[in-house]
Amino acid sequence: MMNDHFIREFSSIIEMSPLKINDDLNLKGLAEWDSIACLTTITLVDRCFKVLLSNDDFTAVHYFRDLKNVIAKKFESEK
Amino acid sequence: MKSCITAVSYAVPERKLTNQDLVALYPGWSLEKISGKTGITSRGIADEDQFSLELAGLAAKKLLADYKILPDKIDAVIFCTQTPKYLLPTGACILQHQLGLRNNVCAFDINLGCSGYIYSLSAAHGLIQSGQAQSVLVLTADTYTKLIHPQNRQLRTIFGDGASATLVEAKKRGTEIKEFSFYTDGAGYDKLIAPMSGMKGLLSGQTYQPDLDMIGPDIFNFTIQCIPDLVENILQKHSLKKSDINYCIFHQANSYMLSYLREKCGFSEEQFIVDMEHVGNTVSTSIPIVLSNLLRAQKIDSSKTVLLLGFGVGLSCAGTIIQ
Repeated sequence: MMNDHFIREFSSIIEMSPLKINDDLNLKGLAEWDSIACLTTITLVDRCFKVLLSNDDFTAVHYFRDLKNVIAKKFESEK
Repeated sequence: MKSCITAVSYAVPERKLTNQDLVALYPGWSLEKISGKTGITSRGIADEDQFSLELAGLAAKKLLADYKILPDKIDAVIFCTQTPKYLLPTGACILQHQLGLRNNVCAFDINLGCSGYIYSLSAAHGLIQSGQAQSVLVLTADTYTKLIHPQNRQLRTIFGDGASATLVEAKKRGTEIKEFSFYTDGAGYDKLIAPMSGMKGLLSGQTYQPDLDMIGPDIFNFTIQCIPDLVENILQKHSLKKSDINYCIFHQANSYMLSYLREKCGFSEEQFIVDMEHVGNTVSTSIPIVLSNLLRAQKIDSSKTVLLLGFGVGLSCAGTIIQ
């Protein structure tokens, strides 16, 4: 469900090339993955998928795959 | 008789915390990132011996002097703060004495944060409409920076200290305060909290360590979910369309949040005021700061319709129209 638009926008949030965004990307290990990045990600996910990520959701996110999974799970539950 | 806002002033501490200061304190934090996302370049920081009481006194004295208001004219004083100098007595009582107000005034405090200015206007409006007062002094002041741990980069970036003073008077004509709408969700009480700041902390036997904690994503979600509905409710209550609103003055939380709220609520950039660059998020004082600046720039008069909306700690929201 992750399209190019989402990847491109997300890459700008963490100030990284879209080519470097993959499932194994360790978000928790990035200095750019901070409180401001979380707020920006909330709006990006809301715009793209019409779901809101909570603080608990972010707590569970270590790798990019975790972010994808939590979005997919929320998206399915709100269908 | 209408309840009208006839004067607004504010005061912020002379001491500042700039983005340059923050970058020096927290390497890796860039100037562009801080100002780009928060819309803040500096914030007022109260001195060690300067509390909300002193700041409110400054704002009130400025109001009385700037607008040549005689203290004897005031029938009631409402003081909104979440960082009182003393848990008791009531700050409004001390301010009654310090400002030289009459003894037969009504004086009380309100403990609310970012929605506090709207609640205080509501209380002033109620006193006037019930005939108990003709002239109400509404004061807001907070020193949230005293609750923030020096290592808390996120909160030090956002919050600034400040105070405001507003005169609400019974008038036949003027900038009238209309009806209010409220929304409360106490289930989110721990989303913005200073857990040891009250009696619990005093009785712990330990020296208070600044412990303000904010769960930003959950507060953000709360505002995204409740504010657009509250705006609709306020508009419906006043039979207004979004295009009828000249200015939206929302609580100045941070520019990123405000930008997204504007988008969700469907207002234009021209309608939506963001004015916090040199003061930061001043809690209950943020709305009157914007209001004062607009009044001083003569952008608000009785021909304008303005939406005021506060939201945050509690969790609590409130809004009204002034027209």
